[in-house]
Amino acid sequence: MIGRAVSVLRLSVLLAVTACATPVPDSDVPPGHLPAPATDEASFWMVTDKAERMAQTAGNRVTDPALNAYVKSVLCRVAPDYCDQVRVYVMRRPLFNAGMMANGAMFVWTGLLLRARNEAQLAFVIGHELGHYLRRHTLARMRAVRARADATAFADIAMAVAGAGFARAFVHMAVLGSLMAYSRDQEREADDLGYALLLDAGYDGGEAPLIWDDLAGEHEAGDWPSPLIFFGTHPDSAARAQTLRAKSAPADGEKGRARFLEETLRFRDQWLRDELRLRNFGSFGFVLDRLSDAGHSPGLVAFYRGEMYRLRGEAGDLDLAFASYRAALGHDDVPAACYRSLGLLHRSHGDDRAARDAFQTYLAKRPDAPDRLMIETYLAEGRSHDD
Amino acid sequence: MTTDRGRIAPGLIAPGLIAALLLGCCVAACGDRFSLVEPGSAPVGDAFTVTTPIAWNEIEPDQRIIWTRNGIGLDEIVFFPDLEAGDSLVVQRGQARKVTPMPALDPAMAPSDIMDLVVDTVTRTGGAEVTATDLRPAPFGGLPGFRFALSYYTDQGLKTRGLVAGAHRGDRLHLIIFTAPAQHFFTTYRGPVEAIFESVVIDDGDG
Repeated sequence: MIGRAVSVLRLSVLLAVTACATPVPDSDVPPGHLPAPATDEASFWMVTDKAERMAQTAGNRVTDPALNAYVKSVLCRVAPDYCDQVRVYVMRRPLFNAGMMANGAMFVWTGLLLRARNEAQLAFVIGHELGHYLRRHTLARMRAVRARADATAFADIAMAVAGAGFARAFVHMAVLGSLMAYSRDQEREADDLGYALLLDAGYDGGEAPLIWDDLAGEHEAGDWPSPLIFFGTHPDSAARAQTLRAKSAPADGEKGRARFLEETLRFRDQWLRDELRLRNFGSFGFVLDRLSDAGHSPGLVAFYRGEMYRLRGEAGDLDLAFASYRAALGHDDVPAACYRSLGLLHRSHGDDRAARDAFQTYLAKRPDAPDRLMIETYLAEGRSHDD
Repeated sequence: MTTDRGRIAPGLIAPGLIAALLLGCCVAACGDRFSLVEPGSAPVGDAFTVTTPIAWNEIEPDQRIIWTRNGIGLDEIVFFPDLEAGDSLVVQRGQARKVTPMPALDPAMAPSDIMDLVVDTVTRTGGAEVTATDLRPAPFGGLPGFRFALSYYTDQGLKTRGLVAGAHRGDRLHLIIFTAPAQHFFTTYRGPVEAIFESVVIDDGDG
């Protein structure tokens, strides 16, 4: 209870300090806040309430109770006074993003959970987004968008921030991204507040700039256009990482790596598959490199590197694919699908014996394979070539 | 409408994903571009002919052919008469093609790879928890083809099922994708669709 009181006091001081430094037209959002009727804020809440209801039933909403409870627990640790007020939704979407709507609904994409190295990094992003909400940047942004976009685009934006449903046109989302971009001052303010919340919750502040470092690196590697709503409309990632790095951080802050991996590692296979589907091999390779550096799930990472080369199909990629798949085989966590991919590659290059070995191993490891009958046909074809 | 996710969804019909993207317009505006396909023999481009036991409404966007009984989003058969190397199931334009291109066909793809391509495309176009099952060899108009089943949730949480049939012909791919909401529409039209799959006659081009 005392800890929470200190936390609220610190938050209030922080908000006051930032308010003095940067003029903000509206006051902060107190716990339990509801907009007054007949205000524009109330009308924005109606739109975002609708978007939230759609997100609740969206096909890509992650309903795993343990994962949702974990992400919510991080929010509650970062901002205990807003624990009951803020609803957190985990949306299965590739790419790094989290967002918060004016009505207190927070959305965290699985692409972010794939990229965060530990709980401290997740906590910083949650604190950062909460900072936008508490400082009313979200409200100011919605007012600006409403003045410039029609109702359809406005609703689209709410849905796109959530990550619910399908982003209909890539270019359309890029345009919306430009409308939704926070100002540099707002981003700095959110970083400051997110950083303060991070330290106050006992996390390692040194993890904060690493998020923006990685975002900047991936943005460049993937040759993504900017601004882009999928990147949470976060410009100047490299500069912001530098600003955060200049802040002093206590040496005993918690990273929460073990707990984070325990809660998220079991989803890594499907989240990597989601990223690979985007077919942005520059971006995907960057993500794999970061995961490889971290050292977890080496067999899975090597398999997906093989998939990346196999699907990219540039000169020399075939050899790289084979090498990656073979590297994956040396690890306990190699997925069964690796043998399938090896078998398909061997088959397409006429090595029936190697294909047979790989396919047989695949079916042994995956008796319920969705393509079992077809694989057995490949095996029969291979045997007939031997005859 | 109660979704399979347990809550009442907004009263919008979730559009069939690939079909909706191919149309690129609302169904109402496209209404006058549909034509009637009577029961019987019907050509699918210049690639093959099928025989349908029931009538359909037909529209032809972007060199694909779409049949529907009750409207896009309730049931649809998408015919891809002739997919070539580099083709995607959904046509992209502009910046998206460069930054996040849709999965594209490679003539060397095995049926397993085609199954992955369909799953990836349906996921990219808004499908959730997309799974393909029962991939098996199946003749396609005398060609050594394949079939498999699809299951996914739309972006609005509606459970949808599908059937896919296809075959390579040289360096081209003939493909048929049927999707419909699992409740009522899929079970109602599964029989006629399977009859269509069985009826394929390849156009040998002798004309």
